[in-house]
Amino acid sequence: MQCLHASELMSLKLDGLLDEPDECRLKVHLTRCPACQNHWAHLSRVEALFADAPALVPPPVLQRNIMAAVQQKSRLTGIWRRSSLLALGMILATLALIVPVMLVIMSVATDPMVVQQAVGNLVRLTGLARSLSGALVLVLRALVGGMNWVLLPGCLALVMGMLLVWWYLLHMPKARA
Amino acid sequence: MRAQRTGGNVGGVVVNNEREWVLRACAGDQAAFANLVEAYQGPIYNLAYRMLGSGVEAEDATQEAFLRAYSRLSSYDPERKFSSWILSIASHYCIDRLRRRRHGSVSMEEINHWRWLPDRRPRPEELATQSERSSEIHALLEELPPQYRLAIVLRYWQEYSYQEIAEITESTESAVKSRLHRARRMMAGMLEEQSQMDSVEEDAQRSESKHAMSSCF
Repeated sequence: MQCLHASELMSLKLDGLLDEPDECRLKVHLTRCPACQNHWAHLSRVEALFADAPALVPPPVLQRNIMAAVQQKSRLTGIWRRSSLLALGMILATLALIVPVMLVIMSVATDPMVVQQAVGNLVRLTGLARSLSGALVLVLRALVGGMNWVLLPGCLALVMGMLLVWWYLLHMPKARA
Repeated sequence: MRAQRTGGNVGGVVVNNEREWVLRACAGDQAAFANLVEAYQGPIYNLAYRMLGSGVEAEDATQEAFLRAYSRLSSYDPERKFSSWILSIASHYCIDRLRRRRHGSVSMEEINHWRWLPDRRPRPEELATQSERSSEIHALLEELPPQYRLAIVLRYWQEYSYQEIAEITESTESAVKSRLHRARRMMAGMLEEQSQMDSVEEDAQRSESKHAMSSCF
């Protein structure tokens, strides 16, 4: 038996997984090989060292700290989810406003310049809505502690902004004309 | 709540009602998750302490493991043992941390600010009565590569079988067998080296004292 194989068998022996024939072979090898006897002695020392090592008791505050962190994470996840939904809602609302407006303009206006101008403004409006919703998400993400009241003025500001832009768009073709 | 034997066994601790707690935690019940934390904080803290070698880092790692588990509860497979799942999360985190430590990239955020303040609580080292033995164990584990260290920790402190260690470390039983064997060989080699150095020192001291005695007479 090679010493390396004997060493593998020793490891299995320590785990109680060595079958009888292998155990006999290992014993025979150990009686003949002083190097492996020495190795076995050191392995047994490692085993004794680890077998007697006490399990450590976690600090009493650990559970409280973990649950506080879990609650904070849960709160932040809630804010993130709500703000994402809000941003999505804003984008959908903007699209819902833009599409009919665009259809109206295209059916009413005959001048290609007016149509082009209107389309340009609508693109700018979309960009504005996207920026506003993005900013809102950032603000909400930055706020730690579940300040739900931020949602209301944020929504109001967005709606006001969009109404203003819509009003401008509706009156712009007339002004141009 | 009726005690059911549907629990897991981790570090020799049988956890009752585990399945129920996991299901409730998955549904967003934080009290149920608190029960899981209470049941598994000991084994995870022990794993992290043996892997990272520091009480403060072990606390951080335990907290991080539970946070990751909480945010991944929706992907937990109920067929899998919860103990294996959470220990797997903790093991991965500890190995990542050891790798980053080796590359010197553990961020300051990961080290709590109170690490630098005097800690009035009893240290784990103080709690362990055999501090000398504890430091010897620590010195041996420190020299092992992370994967070997993990196999040893799971084998000795969590009392897991090869199959369970393979499941936690996402490897095969033969890989676990090989890691345990190599880790033991390394540690036996270190002890052998240490005993050789000790005997050389003893010889030197003996010859020195002999020389001193002869010079006196």
